Amino acid sequence: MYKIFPFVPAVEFSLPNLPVELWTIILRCLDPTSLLTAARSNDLWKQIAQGDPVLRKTIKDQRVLEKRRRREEMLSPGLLLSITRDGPNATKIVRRQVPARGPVTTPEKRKRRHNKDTELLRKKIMRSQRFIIIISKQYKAKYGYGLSKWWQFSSGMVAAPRTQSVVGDDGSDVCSTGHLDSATLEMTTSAMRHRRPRECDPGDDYVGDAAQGTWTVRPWR
Amino acid sequence: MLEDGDLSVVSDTKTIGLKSCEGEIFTVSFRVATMSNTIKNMIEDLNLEDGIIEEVPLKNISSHTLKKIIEYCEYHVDDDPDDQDWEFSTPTTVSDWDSKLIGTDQEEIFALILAANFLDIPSLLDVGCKTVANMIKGKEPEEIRKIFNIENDFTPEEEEEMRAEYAWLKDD
Repeated sequence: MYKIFPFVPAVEFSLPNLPVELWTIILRCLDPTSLLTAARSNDLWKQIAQGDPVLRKTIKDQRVLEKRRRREEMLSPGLLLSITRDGPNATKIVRRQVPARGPVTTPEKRKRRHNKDTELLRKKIMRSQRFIIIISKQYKAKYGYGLSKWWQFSSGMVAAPRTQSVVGDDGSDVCSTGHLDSATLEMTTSAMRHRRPRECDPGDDYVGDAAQGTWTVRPWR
Repeated sequence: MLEDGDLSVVSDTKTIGLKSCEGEIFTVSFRVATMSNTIKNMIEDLNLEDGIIEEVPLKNISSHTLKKIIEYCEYHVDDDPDDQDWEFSTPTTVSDWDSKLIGTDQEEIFALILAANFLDIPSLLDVGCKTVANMIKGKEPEEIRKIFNIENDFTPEEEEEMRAEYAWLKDD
């Protein structure tokens, strides 16, 4: 008459009955990445991670660090390289560096930081013969604008005002589409010195055409 | 009231019985028993050197768990508490002996953590918490749910939001 269906008691789908303070201690033992993963796995742990000041700070710090790392990656890719040197006697590993500066808080500080970053970036570019990227879309999103004046680099490259990306002298075009070999780029840069693009629209790339000695506008994808 | 010095003299000679919820009594030395701050405070407050109470009822701890706790306390009774860091630091390293004692059965581990919390044995609580943390460490959310047999109580929208928020986790 009646058929009893197999069922799984609801209690089997619950976390072990530990008090919140013990879960807090357990979650505090985790590294930031594991903590974030744990917070994504169920609502109780998420609430604990958000409610406990130490855990909340850990998550916040980790996210700030990650943002900074990404910005650093964008501004100076060389810093993020891991170099391993194997020798007969020793192995030297240079790991990536994360800048130690704190987060930007106010518009004034942001502007000051931007100027400092821009200057730092310019110096790095001047030093480097193999520089690839100057300003990216993310940089624009962060600061709202790109370069404010013309820059000529040691490699012969010239960046237009408000340029969002520049093609590198090794031929790679990181920010936008397309590819230029170094010969083309040499021609491009020499053409660029004498002939600036007529239209400078933020958000577009300006790529010189070696054969024509003209500029082509490449919109952001 | 007993002074600290008096307790150390008493603890070497006298014993005390710990009664589990099943009624089984485990006799241990005062020195081992006083690794638990709860029992230590009880002995000090009740002046147990006179032998008024010979057994302490622990109604929320099973015999199996109590046996493990006593084994742990007997092994670590000579450890210097100043040498150890009870601040629940991030490195989740557990000694081989401790991990062997605690085992892998989740129910036992959580019972042990609850008992260590009740008896106020910081070192054992630390070991238990680190063991659970090691179970979580380096796992994906789905794996964690499987390990702890928990249901995904997030809505698809919440999941999508979190996935977008923590997308950078996948980059490393």
